[in-house]
Amino acid sequence: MMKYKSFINMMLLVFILTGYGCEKYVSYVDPPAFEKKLVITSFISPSDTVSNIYVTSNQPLYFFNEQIEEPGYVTGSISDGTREILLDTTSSGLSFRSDQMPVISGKTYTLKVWGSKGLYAEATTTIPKQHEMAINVDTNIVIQEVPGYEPDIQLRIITEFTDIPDEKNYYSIAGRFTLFKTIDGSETVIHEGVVWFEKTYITDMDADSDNKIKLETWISDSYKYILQNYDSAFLNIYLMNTEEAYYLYHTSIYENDNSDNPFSEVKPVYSNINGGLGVFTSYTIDSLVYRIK
Amino acid sequence: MKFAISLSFILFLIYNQVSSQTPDRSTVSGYVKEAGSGETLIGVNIYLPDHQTGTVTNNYGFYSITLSSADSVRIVYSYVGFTPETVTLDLRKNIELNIDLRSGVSLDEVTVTADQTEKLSESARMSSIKVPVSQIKNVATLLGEKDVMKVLQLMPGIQKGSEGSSGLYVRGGGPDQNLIILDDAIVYNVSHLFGFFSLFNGDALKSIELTKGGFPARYGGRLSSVLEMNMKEGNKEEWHGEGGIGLISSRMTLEGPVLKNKSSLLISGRRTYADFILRPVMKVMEDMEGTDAGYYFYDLNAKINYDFGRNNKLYLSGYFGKDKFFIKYKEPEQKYNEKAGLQWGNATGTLRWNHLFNSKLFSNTSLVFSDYKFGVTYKYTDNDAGENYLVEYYSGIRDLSLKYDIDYIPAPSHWIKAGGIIISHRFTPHVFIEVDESLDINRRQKNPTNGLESGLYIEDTWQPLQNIKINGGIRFSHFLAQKEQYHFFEPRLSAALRLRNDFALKASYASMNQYIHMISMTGISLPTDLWVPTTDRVRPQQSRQVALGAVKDISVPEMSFSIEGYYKTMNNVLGYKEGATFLDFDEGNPLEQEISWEDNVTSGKAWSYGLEFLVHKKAGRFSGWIGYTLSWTQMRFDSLNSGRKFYAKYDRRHDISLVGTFRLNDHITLSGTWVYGTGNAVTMPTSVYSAPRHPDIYIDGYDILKYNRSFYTVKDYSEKNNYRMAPYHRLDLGIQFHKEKKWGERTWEISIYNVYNRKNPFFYELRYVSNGSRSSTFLQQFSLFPIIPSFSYSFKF
Repeated sequence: MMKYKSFINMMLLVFILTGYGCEKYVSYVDPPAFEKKLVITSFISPSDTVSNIYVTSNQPLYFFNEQIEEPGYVTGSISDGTREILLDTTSSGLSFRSDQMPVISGKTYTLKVWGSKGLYAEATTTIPKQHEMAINVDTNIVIQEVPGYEPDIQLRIITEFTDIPDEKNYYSIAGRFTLFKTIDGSETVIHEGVVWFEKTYITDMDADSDNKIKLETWISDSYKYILQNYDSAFLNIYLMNTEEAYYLYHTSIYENDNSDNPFSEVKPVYSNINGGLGVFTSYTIDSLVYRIK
Repeated sequence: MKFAISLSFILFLIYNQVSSQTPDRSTVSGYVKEAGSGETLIGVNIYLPDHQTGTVTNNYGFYSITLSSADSVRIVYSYVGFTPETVTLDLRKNIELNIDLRSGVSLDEVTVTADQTEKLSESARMSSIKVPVSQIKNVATLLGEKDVMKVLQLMPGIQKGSEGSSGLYVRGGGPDQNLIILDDAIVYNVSHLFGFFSLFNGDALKSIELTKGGFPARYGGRLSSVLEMNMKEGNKEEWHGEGGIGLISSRMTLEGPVLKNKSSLLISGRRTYADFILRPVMKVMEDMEGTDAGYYFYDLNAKINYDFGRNNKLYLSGYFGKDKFFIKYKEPEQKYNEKAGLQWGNATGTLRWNHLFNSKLFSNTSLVFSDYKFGVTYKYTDNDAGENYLVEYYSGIRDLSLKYDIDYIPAPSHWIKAGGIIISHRFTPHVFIEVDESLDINRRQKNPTNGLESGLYIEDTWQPLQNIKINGGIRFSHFLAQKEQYHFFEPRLSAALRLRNDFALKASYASMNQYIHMISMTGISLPTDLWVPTTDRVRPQQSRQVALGAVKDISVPEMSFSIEGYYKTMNNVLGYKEGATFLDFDEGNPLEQEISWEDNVTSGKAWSYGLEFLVHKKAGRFSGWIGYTLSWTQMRFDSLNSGRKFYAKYDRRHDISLVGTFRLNDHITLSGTWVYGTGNAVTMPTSVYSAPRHPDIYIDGYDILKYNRSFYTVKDYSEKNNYRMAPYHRLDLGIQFHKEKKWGERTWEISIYNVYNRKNPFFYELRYVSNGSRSSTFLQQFSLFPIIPSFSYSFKF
């Protein structure tokens, strides 16, 4: 009987302790320390008459978002290795004109930015060489059967260009289509839309054995609709030869967006700004206008 | 080939030199076994007090000592947990002497004297830990489940990954850098229940030894540690059993003679019954109608052996274990069924042949099979249409190896070991199967890879002077990938200099190479960790480690004090690239994408250095240890963290373990453990900022203040592993009540895990809180195990 009572007492003790342990096991902890930094974003090119440098600062993540704290009054300079100029102040940061400091392919430029609250950052970029990339566009019409409806007509566009041989290359491509319609002989209606390519940021790893890179895209509006409602349609293709920093920055933004996936490694956004965040990079551009209708 | 010829020539010279010795030397050799069971004992100390020399038994209980012939030689055989045996014999000719030691520990500490157990100061080895199996059974653990890995994690220099994890992080190395061997078979995934328990059943084990530095040349293939475990052989004299019933699992071991004193058998099994408890509960829960879910794991160890006589013994052993998590759903109107499951398991088999050429030359030949596989499955059945949809994903590794080792003991001052191993690996990092009967899809993608790994070694433990012992050796390792071949010489050296009685300085150097890698997504031992080979693109991992230490042994009470510093560099360590995901299926059909793990990984360097203190009392009424480690582990990858150095996730500045067991009397044993560790380093965002994209800016004009600009709000992580989790500390207490019964012995154990209910961090999560127009982000810590009492019942007969 004594042994039985001891056993019951033991079990009671176990269940009491188990009940005490079963509480919600979540607590808030001190977050990582916040360090204020300048965020500089700038893409310069010989084709721009005005080059902008977007300057802001990072914001604390772990506090209520009551007010965005700006970096204060910012000043900056840019140098091409032989001379240095001060930058003009704009509402979004800084800028300079091509007559103040021409942006030339092959040259390296150093950007320095100061914030009035003691922040400082700097970065360099080397302008890619301007190349003729022989952009070629081909189109074909695709008829899409839609059960219960009339077939739809879509325009498939293949853009091809030649990779620059014997060097590591990074490219970016963008497109816009513009539709025109004249009403009553005077009024012109214009409709614009963005063209999305299967890949926006490309490297020469995407080239085939003939050094050609091909990208497919579609006009977002139905081609049948364009044919029926507009008088003319144009496609503008912009092909940029960029630095590696340009490519790494943009691809990392997309992957940073996936960082909440528990089975994904964290992907920080690329930055080449010393002492800050963001990117200072450059590109040269080639373009093509293609008449669809 | 050249190395093999050189090795054979060296062995021939040594054999000739010793064989040509004058005939006034005699050898005493034999086996040391446990009285009453016939179980051979590993590492028994054999000491000749009149000659100030000695030896130990090898992994098969064999010993050999060659001395000048004498008419009276006194030999003391001693082993922790056993009564020492002293023999005086006439050694004027070779003698075969087998010894049976009786188990039993006196509570009176004075019966255990300094020269009767192996002292750390006398061994040339350093950085190695031998854990008596009995000590594992006394340490209080989570839910009362006795676990080899959990006890090893309490030793200095050895850490666990996260709360509850059974992974080992040894001197800054990752969990794949540990060679875990059970009866010569490599075990790849040592975890049950997602890392909360290991798959080693202590009832089936005879010896456990972990080496974390100063590796002898016989060990190779991993950078950071070798955990060598041997299964018991089984009682050769009579049938015995032991088992236990706990809250999570139950176990049973049976051992006994097949032919008395010739052959024995051991079978040991363990199974959890979480599924038996969970399933009826789920059936009565609301919202779970039609759902059946469960989880279980099991282990099975088996071993049979046969003595053909003194010169030949044969052993066959195997391990089989599996974890399975499943969930099934039957739609109430029977329109469709769904089944999903996650399972993983190991199977190993070892056939070993011991052969004694003569009293000085012993050999072992092992043929080993090892298989590890994990899989994820999902099946959907449309009962109306009679069609199935099935997705399966598997990953695994299968080995077949042949190993040959010799022990040649020509004199007390030399113990030569030599041998070789060849392993044929077959890796299947990714196997993907998709069957969709409604769309007539049947796809299989399997990319197996083979690799051939081999090694040759020779080492000698040499005692040139009374107070100096050196273990020196060299290993040649080779790996054949698809086209590339890799080979390296790995010099090894460790030495002990005894300055005074029971005080020694030690030093070691080891060069190691590793041809098998585990790519780990998280710190928890999830079965999603992939085992992959060295390839033409992925080079072998390499390490160099130096260690310096001092050891002091004390006779009464029997204790040892050791302090050891180490510095280890590692090259070609692997890590996932930033942004890489497990099951890296890009947009579109995954089978149209080339799933290559090589594209997801990057290699870099690592540095680890630190200081380890250990005070260890091995015997007596009170036993236990205090361990403290001060260490740093850093890494650098060109493509991670912008090429800057960062702390490894498992970098732990301070690690403290206090472990004690006190035998109050013959019936009650108390145990307690307190651990402290600096928190793991994890990557946490520190701020947010706007990140505009360029083409949109260009198209809309370069003035980004236009309303249709496009930019992202992104998180800044500043540095990789920039944030320290809260420190981990915990107290466990246990009490055991032993009682002798007519049929054997029973033990009731009550233990409490995490006595003061510390909320140790398990993982962190960002939590977004919105309050009207205001919103904020908080960092939440999730803890796993609160105070957990448990009880268990174990028995022996």
